[in-house]
Amino acid sequence: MKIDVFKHYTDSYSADLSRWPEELVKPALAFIETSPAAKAYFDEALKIDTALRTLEGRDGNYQKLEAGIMQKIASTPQERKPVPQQERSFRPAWVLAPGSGLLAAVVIGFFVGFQPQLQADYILDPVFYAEEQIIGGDDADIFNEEVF
Amino acid sequence: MFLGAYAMKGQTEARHLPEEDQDDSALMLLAASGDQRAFQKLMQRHLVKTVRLAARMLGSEAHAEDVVQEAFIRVWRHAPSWEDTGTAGAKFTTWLYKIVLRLCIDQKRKNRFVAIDDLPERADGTPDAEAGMETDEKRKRVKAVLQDLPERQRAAVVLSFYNELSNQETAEALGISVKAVESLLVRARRTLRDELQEEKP
Repeated sequence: MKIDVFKHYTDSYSADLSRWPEELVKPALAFIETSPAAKAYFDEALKIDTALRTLEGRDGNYQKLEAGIMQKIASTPQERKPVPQQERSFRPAWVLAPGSGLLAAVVIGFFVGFQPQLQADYILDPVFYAEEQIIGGDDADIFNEEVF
Repeated sequence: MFLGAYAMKGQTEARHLPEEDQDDSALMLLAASGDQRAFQKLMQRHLVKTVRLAARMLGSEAHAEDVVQEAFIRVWRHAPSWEDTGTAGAKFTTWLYKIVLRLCIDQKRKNRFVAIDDLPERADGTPDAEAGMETDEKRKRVKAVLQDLPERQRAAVVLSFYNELSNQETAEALGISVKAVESLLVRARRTLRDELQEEKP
């Protein structure tokens, strides 16, 4: 362990070795044993900890504070989680779904409408259903033609 | 729906434990359902440490009590949404200290001048009294040096040294990385070292 690293750990975790990561404690203790500079730095850190401890609070009596807080709590409503409301705002899907169905129907209808009407043409074919043939009837023509 | 059912299950389980055995999260679940006794138990557990945290941040116990009162009222008010605060998985104390620290910063901004010390003056000249005065002087000096630290360095020292949070927990309470906490602690302790050495004869 180098002295700079040791100093960094001492300042990060204080001189209380129980706060140090477990795996660093043994190397740190060994370093303190062998390095006078490390020992001096660690002793200074102990002094700082002792100085800071002079500010450790006297056991105050906070019953009055506690009672005051509980009194306020009694008249303070809690903020409940808002119940999730169903989404009422406009959704494009509401228009797109029926709209696209309608459009598809129009396109299909358009193409179907433009298909050639084969069956209707056949029925009205003038070769077979000329006006005079319909009026005269097929049977009459048969006898007029020299078939036999 | 699922989370709601999970919270309900937690509340039911929490109710079956004696209060002494309930951890902070269980008590918070009960408080969230409006249980004032559970909230009081939780507050009693953490009141002293919270007042001390605020007092060290503000340099005044009177101001600290105001801050702590406001902090616990906020905890009560927001208890039902505690699990949704983004601190899920974090300890209750981390969340509480975060609220206290924010209120301390607000308080400091509102009152630029905060009493450095509210220790009673001693006037008699007996040896005990002299020793006491010396200790008081030392306390005043340490308190002043601590108060002179930049806010975040002071918060890091107070949380890790006095409130005994790990560097990881301190980082969570301050909303910064562990590396940043270590950096704050290193700078703070070097300042403390320099300043407290200066007072030596």
